[in-house]
This record gives sequence, structure tokens and C-alpha cells, in this order.
Amino acid sequence: MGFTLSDFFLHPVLQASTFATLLLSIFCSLIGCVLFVRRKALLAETLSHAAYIGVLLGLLFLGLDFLAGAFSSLFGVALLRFLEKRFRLSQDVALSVTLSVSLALGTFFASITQFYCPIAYKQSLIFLYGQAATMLNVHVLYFSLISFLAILVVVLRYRVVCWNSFDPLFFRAQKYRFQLFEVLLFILLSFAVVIGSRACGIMLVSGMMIAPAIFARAFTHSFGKMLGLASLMGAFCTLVGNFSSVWIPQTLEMELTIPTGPLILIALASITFVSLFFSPKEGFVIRIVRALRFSLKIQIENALKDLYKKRKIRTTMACLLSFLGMQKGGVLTKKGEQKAQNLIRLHRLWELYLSRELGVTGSRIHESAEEMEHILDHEMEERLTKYLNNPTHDPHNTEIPKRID
Amino acid sequence: MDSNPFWNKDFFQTVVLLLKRALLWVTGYMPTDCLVEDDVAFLALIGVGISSVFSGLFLVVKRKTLVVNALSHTILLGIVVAALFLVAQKMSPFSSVGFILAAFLTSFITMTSTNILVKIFRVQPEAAVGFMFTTLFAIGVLFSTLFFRNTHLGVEAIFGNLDAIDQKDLSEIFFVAGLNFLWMFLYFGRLRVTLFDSAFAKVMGQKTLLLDAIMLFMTALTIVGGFQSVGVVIIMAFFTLPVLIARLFGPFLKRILLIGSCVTFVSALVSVAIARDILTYYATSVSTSAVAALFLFFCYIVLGLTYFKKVGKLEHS
Repeated sequence: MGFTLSDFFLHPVLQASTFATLLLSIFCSLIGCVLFVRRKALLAETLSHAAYIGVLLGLLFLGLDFLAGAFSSLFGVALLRFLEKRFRLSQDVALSVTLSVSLALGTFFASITQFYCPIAYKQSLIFLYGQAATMLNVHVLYFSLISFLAILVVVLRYRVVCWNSFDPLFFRAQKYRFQLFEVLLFILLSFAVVIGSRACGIMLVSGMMIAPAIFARAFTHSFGKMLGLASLMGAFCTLVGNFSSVWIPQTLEMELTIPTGPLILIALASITFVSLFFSPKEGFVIRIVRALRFSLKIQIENALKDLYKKRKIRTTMACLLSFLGMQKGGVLTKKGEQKAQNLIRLHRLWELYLSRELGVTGSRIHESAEEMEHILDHEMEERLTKYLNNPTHDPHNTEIPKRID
Repeated sequence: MDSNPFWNKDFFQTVVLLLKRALLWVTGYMPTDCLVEDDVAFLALIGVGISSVFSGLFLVVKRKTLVVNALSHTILLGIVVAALFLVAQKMSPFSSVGFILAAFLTSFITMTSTNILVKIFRVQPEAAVGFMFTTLFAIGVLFSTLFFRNTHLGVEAIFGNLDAIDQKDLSEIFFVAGLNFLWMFLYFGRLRVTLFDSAFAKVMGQKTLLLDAIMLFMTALTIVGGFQSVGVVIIMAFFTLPVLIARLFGPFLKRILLIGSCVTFVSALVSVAIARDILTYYATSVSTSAVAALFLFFCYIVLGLTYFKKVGKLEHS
């Protein structure tokens, strides 16, 4: 049997699970963003491990595995709070104790289940690494419903989520139902963790929630835009992982199923890394480019000053300056002279400001001015001039040249 | 089944028999070949537990236990890569060399990747750790599926399987425990100084960075040692809980080491006996390592709640 990409959208069996996967990945990404801005990225990790025991018991007794899983991860939250409050454990110790003990409980029951009810055990293993394409109809229905409702809550109550995450004190002062909303968020989180595990597995679901947030954060500073970007990216990568889990064994002609979770995460991670490298705002490349540009600017400006003061400059810089049309045969052109004079004006204004207003003395004045002259812009210069009453002489009693526009 | 002397024993009989046989083994009256499953599980739990207490002590006090979490996820990748390399060299991956290589790879990969994310890409540290170790774990699972055609490796890595280990693995576990003991014995003072006054330690000429790196390596080595028997998640309970229990009795590092080791010993004894008891009466085999972790947690909660009342709120540093 061979699947192609279009089957995921058109094949009647796959179609439903693809739709559900899309919704749940958006849901997980949204919750991941909220965790990210609250700096609680590792909470998802703990809660997902706590969910396993619930999933297992749910499979055994109720059939509603995800509901029981959400309950048990809420129980994990309670255990975490208990350890932090009653035993005064620091956050990281409490997290690791909760994580390992709840999974130990899961392992304990798993070993019993393996013996008495191997089918339930096998099904629970799906939650370990995820298998999105083989969702049952019940899952598709409930997961899409819950995800849809949760997305609706986050979108409609966007303001409240913002306040809650960025300014909890203000939020509390508003007498809005702070506690209630906090509890609601935790419930959403535990559902996200469990539902995400169906696609990505309990070991990896926290990565699936956090990675889109890291990706989105590299592009924007606005929380709203971050939510949007993250959910787009989460949905896309989940689809990619979902598809490649079927496609890779087919191409390699291997008879094994690769779990979806690792593939989703690798897709997410590679895109996140690319974005961290090349994002236009804070990407690695752009920061290096900026630093290079700035140091080049400093070099050029220093050379201009040297020429203005009739000092010698290096041949490479001379070539560069003449290429920029700022000097000709060792003499500054009009454009170059204007730049140089403005620079010197900035330098002396800053020296005057330091010595007169801040009381700085000695060689530090000059050193500071050497740096500031490259940073100050036209507006700051105007304000400095006004503030210093349009001065004519600097602290060394040399003349401050007029500005040339 | 008749060959196993623990057959059909209940809790107390198992405890006595375990102690007796362990003593016989230690004193050399019983050859290693005679050790049966329960003995191996008991000794393995002690070995892994004591290594964990030794490398967990400073991590708990430094509030860096999530390092264990990160390492325990990356370990799968480290083991798979080390195994690939060793198999290519026609050496067995399950040997001391394999362990050391895997631990080194793991700690190195974890440290560099997280540092790169935080320092160069300026991601917030928590998110960086959370993102990095899940990704590395995913790569580990994928590798183990593709190269060894084995999806069970991933499952066993999480749950651990004490029944699957034999006498040979036992020697590796004790090798790791011995290294841990040696490391603590030689460097305890320096680590203590570095922990409480790192500036002073630097002035005294301690290479704090190197000490941190070695500590990370020892932690990774301990996890590699416990990987098969205990599983990567439950081992975190072994790292934290004995130290936390011992800390209830007072904030003294050496005392914590001592009490922690005793607690580990008791938990190993009790958990193997409980597992045997359940097997005898309910004909169900349960995961011994999970029982050990749950027992430790139970002890911590009970002792903590009663002890807190007695001596008031202990200061937890």
C-alpha cells in the first residue's frame, strides 16, 4: 500500500485524523506560547509524564483515556504545589521529583497491565511516542472538539491571557476572577499535554509545545503575532512529521512503523534553528551583520576625522573614502567635510556635556566621546545644543564647529 | 523455577534470604554464577542507587536537578552514537569503554548544545533546555529505530527492565559506582569549597569549570549505568529522593551521603522483597525499580510530615 501527500487530505480515514492533528497542534502551540512567556517551559515536561498513569488507567477502566490523563496531570500540578509549599522544595527539585515519581507510578501499573491486559498496554505505548495517523474516530471527534474550544477560549479571551501572563498583579487588582482563570489555564494545559501526547508522545510533547514559541519569538515581539506564528508553524510541522512517518518506511522499504513524535520534533527543531539563524530581528546572522556594519562605520568616521585634522590615513581607507566620494587626492570633498565637521561637533558637545553637567574629569571625557560620537544622531545633537545653551567652546577651550546640513 | 531459591517466598523470607545471599556473595562463599534474578536486581539497585546518591548530592544542593532530566533524555542519543561507533570498530557496546564513551558524548552534546542556544542564540535558558533535550531525545529514538530497527529500545529506556540484566551488567554497574565513589573520595573537599564559595575556590586555584564538567560527566555515567535497569526517568527519583530524605536529618553533606546510601540500601531491599511478595501472592511481576522509587517517595512524605512536626520547619537550603 502506498500513500501520497494528497491522501492525507482526501483519503476518508486519514482525512479525519489529519484534521484533528492540525487542530491539536495549534492548541498545543498556543499553550506552549503562554508557558514560554511565563518562563515555565519545563512545567509541560512534568505534566506530560504525570499524564501517563491516567492514560493507562483510563484505557483499562473507562475507555476515556485522554480525560483520565488530563485528570492525572492535574493531580501532578497538585503534587507539585504540595511539594513546593509544604516541603519548601525549590522549583526544579519539585519538578524532577513529581516527574519521576508519577512516571514510576505509571511504570508500576504498566508492568501489571502488561500482564493482565496486553492490549491496553500496547495502546498506552502509543502515548509514549505518538502515532497521529492511526487515531480512532472517538479520538478524532473529542480531540478536535476540545482543541477547537480551547483555541476559541484563547482567542476570545486574548486580553485576559495577556494580563494573566504579563501583569498578574494588575490582573488581581482588577478583581477579575484571577484564581478561576488560573485554574482554567491549568486545565487547558493538562488537556493540551494529553492530547498532544497522542500525536507526539509524552516524552516529546513539551518540545512540541515550546519549539513553535521559540520560533515565533525570533520573529516578533508582539504576543498576538507570536501566537499566530507559533500555531501556523506548529500545524505545518505536525503535518510534515505525520506524513514522513508513513513516507520514510515506504521509501526505505522497511517493515517498521516510525513513531510520529520524533519526526514532528525534528521537523520543528530544524525550522526553529533556521529561524534562530536567519530571523530578521534577532537572528544570529543579522546580529553579526549589524556588528560588522557598525565597526565599518566607526572605521570610516575615524578616517574622516583624521583627514579633517590633516593626519595621514591608511591607503585602504583612503580608497574606500574616495569610493564613497568623501575625499579626493588626500583632501576632503564637500560631502566628506560636512560629515567630519559634524562628527567633531558631536565629539566636543559630548565632552562639554560630560564635564559641565556630569562633572566628569580627566581623560575619561575624551574616551567616552570617542565612542559616543558614532552613536549620537541628529535629534540628540539638537537637544544637546539646546540644553548646553548653544555653546561655542569645549572644555579644552577649542572651538566647537557649526553644524553643516 | 525450582532453581530459584526465592520461589514462593513472602516479603520477610525474601528480605532475610536476600541479606544472607548478598553476605555470602560479598564474603566469597558463593560464586557470582549462583546469583539469581532477585539477587542481581537487589545488587543492581544498590549499585545504581549509591552512584546516584553520590552524583546527586551536589546537584540537589546546587538546585540543578533538571540537569539530570536533560542528561537522561540525551543519554539515548549518546548511547546510540557510541554503539554505532563501537560496532563499526567491532567492539561490544555493552562494556566499560562503551559506557564511558556514551557518557562523554552525552554530557558533551548536552552542555554544548544548551550553551549554544543560550549564549549565541539568546533563547531564555528554561525554554532552551526544554527544547534541546526533547529534540536530542527525538533524534536518539529515530536513530535507534532506523539503525537498530528496534522501537523497543525507546520504550525500555523509559521503563527500564531489571529482569533483563545479568551478572555481566552488574559488573558495569559496580564499575560506575566505584568511579563515583573514587571521585567523591578524592574531590569532596574541593567540590564543597566550590559549591559554597566559588570565588574563594577560584582564588585558591581550583578549576571550577573543569570540576563542573567532570560532575556532569559523572552524572551522565551514572545514568548510562542505570539506563538498562532503572530507566531514564525513574533514575531521577534515585538522584533526588535519597538526598532529600537524608537532608531531613540535618544539612551536613557527609551525613547526607551516609544516610542517603543507607536509605538506598533499604529501598533496594524492600522493593525487591515487595516485588517478590506480589509475584508470590498475586502471580504478577511488577517493575522493581518503580516500586523502589515509590517506596522512596513514600518514605520522604511520611518522614517529612512527621519530622517537620517534631523539629519544626527545617531550613532547606
